[in-house]
Amino acid sequence: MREDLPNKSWQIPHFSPGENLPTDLVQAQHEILRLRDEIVGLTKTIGVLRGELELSRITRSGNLFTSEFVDLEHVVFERDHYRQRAEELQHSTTWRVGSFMLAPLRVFRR
Amino acid sequence: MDFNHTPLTVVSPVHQPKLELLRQCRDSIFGQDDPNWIWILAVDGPQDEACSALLQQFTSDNRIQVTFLENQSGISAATNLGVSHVTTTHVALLDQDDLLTSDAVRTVREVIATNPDVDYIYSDEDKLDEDGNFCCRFRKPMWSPERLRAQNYCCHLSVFKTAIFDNHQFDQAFDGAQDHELLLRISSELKHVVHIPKVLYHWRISDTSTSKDSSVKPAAVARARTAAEQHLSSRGISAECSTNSSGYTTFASRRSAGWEPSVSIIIPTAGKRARIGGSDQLLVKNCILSLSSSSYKNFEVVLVHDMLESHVLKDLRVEGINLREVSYSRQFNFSEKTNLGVLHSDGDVVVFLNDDTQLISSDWLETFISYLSESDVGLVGPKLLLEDGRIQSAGHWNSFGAHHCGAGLNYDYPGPFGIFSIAGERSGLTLACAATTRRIFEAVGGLSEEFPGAFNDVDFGNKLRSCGYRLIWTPAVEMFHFESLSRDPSTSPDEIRSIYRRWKSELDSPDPYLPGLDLQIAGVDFSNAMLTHVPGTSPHHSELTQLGIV
Repeated sequence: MREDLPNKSWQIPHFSPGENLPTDLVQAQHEILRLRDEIVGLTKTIGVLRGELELSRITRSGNLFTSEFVDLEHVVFERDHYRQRAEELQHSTTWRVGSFMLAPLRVFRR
Repeated sequence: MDFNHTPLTVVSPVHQPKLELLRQCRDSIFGQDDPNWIWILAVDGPQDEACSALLQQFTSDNRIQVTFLENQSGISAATNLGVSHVTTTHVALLDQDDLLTSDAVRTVREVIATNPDVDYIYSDEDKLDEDGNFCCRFRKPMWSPERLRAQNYCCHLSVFKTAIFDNHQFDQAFDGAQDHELLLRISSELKHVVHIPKVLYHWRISDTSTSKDSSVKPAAVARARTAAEQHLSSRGISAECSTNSSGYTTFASRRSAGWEPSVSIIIPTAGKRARIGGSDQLLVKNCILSLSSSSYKNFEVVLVHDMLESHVLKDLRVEGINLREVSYSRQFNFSEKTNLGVLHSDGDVVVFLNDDTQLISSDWLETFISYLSESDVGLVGPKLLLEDGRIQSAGHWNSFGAHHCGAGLNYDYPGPFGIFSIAGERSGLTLACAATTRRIFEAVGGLSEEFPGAFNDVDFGNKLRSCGYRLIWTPAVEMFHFESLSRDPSTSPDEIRSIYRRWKSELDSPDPYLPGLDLQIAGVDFSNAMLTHVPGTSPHHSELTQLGIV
């Protein structure tokens, strides 16, 4: 299973709260799209790992399933990291001000 | 309740049967390898002496009950009478001249034992010809509400939770199509449906049955069409149904929009030229020109272009089409271009469109919008045609990889059991032309930019399905797709690795919506698989809901 996991699972980006937030609304929206894409993909990976862990629990003994458990913890941690970053972006000044300014324009365009 | 000892009740409406066939039907009941059954024969009015005697003979087994309607009232009334005598949790239906396989009762009881709250079970079926041979095996899809509107694909064997009949009955006005009508009526209430991918029922071919030819009972076909229209109307969907000429009892529906959202059509383009219809053309111009025939006018076109020169852009301005330009100067990434296009657009509905396409159906947007008005529909796509009119894609067939279903087949080829002539669920759709809503697009994170050239549609479809959305393919919308004229069709090893990393289990399994194609083309045997669908959920749905993604 380990080779099926994304390599980047082990290279979790380090976002510092409040730092490096995009100043442009489209950039912020784009980053949120990417983060959500990762979250959906990782949620799927977590489901697969949980299934494998359960299978290991049933079919193997002792600490043999420890590796699956560690894999799972890493991926859950990574997903939560992305989720936190997405929430941070949605609370940023860029997001709030940009959305506020764009809302009437969008209605007009529609 | 101990399900290990709960019998399965089988109800058979009886009316002037051929006695030999009724005996064979009885033999198939007695031949069950699980004796835990009850058989209720609901007799529709007075029968001749020989029949009455045979029925009397049947009752020597205390598992068989015979109940009578005083006057002939039709199949719905007789079935309702039989069902009213059921005391078990679930009830199966068996026509008087058909046969159950010897493992039918056991298989159904096993499903009920492991899924005690199951509302409805259906199995694969085949037909029994005049010479006693089994033929025409129908390998059915997992629960497919859209396909059900076009075709009673569930049919035999059908097993209902008996409690359903506390509030519903077969409607006499739909005799001949009463089972289809009931299923459509209750489909939105079904919380737990199981498909058993195994033949449990042999449907006898006879001159007086639609098993041979749907044209022998035109009234029944007309009633089924009415049932489909009434069902759509009850769901707030305005549509006209017509009978297909595919040789199967299937219906095509022409839908109206129902709501009037703004639509953004996203067209990524590098400004390539190619020969279409024998002449050299700027692909994107040909595409945009075709959009002017669209009958739905509240749309904008967002062109994401590779720094096209101003005179080219000026040439793309077509009277009556609101065009917005987004320039893109990075290395080619279809997903990123599309995402940027969406982010620069305003529509409530987003249509992905390749520049190597050409619109055929002027009411395409109305149809797409109508499907997207159903909250669990995440993506809808058309019948894509090659320049010579053959099918380019009838949706994806995700089985041991991702493939274009129907690719290269004749335009009017109905496909096994009419699947290319009716709208239905798919595992994936090509984004050469497909529509979603902005809300859903944003919720699942748009197109994954890990897939710059290939598989972005396979990934997007699987993301939607993992979030509990259905993907609908409809032949009611047609579009030319001059496939891959505008870009290199090859795939990179990175993309192949990435798609399998995320969706290995989905791509390595038989396609749940087109199992007939699986077996026909790939020769896969999945008789031991059990496909279960709980509407509104998916393996990851609750977790994604908690995360605020869906």
